[in-house]
Amino acid sequence: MDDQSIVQLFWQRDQSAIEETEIRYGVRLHQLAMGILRNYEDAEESVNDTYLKAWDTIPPQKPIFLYAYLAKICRFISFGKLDWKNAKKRNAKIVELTAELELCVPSQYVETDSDSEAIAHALNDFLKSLSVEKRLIFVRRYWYADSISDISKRYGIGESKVKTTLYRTRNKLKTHLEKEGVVL
Amino acid sequence: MNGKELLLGINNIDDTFIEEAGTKVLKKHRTPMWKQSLTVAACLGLLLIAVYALYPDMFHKGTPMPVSPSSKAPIDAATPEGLPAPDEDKIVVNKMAEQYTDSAKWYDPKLYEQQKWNKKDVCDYYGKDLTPSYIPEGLHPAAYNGKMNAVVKKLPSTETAPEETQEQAQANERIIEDAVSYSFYHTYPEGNPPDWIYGGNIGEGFTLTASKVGIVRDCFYISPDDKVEQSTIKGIPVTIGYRSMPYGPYNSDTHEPSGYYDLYVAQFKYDGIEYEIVAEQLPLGEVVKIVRGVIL
Repeated sequence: MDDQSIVQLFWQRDQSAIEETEIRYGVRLHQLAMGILRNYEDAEESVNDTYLKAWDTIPPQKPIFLYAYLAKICRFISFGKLDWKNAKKRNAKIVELTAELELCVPSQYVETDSDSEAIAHALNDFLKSLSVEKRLIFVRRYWYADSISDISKRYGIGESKVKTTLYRTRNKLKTHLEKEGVVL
Repeated sequence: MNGKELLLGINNIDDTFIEEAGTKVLKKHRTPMWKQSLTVAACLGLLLIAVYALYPDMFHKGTPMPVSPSSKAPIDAATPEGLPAPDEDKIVVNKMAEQYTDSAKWYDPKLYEQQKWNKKDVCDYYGKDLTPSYIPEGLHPAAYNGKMNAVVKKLPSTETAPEETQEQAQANERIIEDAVSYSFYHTYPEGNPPDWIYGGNIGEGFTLTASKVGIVRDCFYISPDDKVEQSTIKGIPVTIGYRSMPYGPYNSDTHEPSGYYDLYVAQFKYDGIEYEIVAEQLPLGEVVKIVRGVIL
């Protein structure tokens, strides 16, 4: 069943909407949650919570890209469940991603509170300015939490190229955030 | 703002970027043939220089060629640095280009049941204790050795006959995952499994995994697609792979690893059981001895 038909089921308050969503996107959502949480039960809970949240929000929402809509909810819930205090011991990938993004934060903003909406706005502008290849690599790494080797295999490019692209993109992002000054 | 807040802030980027990264495929840039040939020629030239620098004797007539464990050439079991195996064993090491990661395993709890088996259950099921008879000096067993989580599939008839007896229920169950692991490492930080991922501590030791129904892998070292040559140990065909594994922490600027360590993988079937041995920082000779310790 395609996205719009599933959204239609949500609008009709037909409970099969959740079953159809699970059939179409369950595995991908589970992989996304597992990549963040590294725990089967927590990931399962995140995916189930995602379905409930989708049920509560569609309608009034009518997402054009259903997977992106669901994945955003799932990622948000999964990070909410993440035990950040113990992440260093249990989830090397999240520690790695956090450390990499730390390098993008301009020094003058390190001590300031941030506004996630403002960050997203600045990131949207930044992502628009990137080439398609750089944007895909950046989003796969920091939004989907993919490993370097997974990105390399996905796009058929060398791991060193992925690393170099990410390194340069992070530097560009740092400059962009400095210019925008959006985090204050 | 810090890295964590940035990682969370990214969540709210435009849906189109998320959809694009979820679906879009990059078109591969085709390099012209002459450029490819030039690259190959340059690589071969560099390779020759590197080989000459490392093994100058190889270019003199009558001198035997030294064999690196990472090469695909057979290693002579009689070489002093080689293997303690008897003459009838033939050892071939396949170079593993990379470690493959497949999707994570997932079992629908409505259809599958996960059962915790203790050491006695495991011994009864396999008909023997699977601990290898040879353990390299200085390695200690992990606390979880010999215990396992079996995955049992409930066949459809159990759903249609809810009042069945315990015997009938057992008859309608099928074990679909029975892998049991035995780890032997130098240290186990805080009583946990060997800490070979975090903080740059690479465990020294090995893990043996055994299964009667077949090892279900979500991370596999020797790809089924790879062309591999087999060794023969005590008459049993054994596939051995080698990779020089990078380890972190990685340099934040250059992304260079802190270093590399030896990883050997041996896969074989013996006595109706599939085995896989993953050895880290152990010499090939020790890996072969462990395999010999399983094939009794």
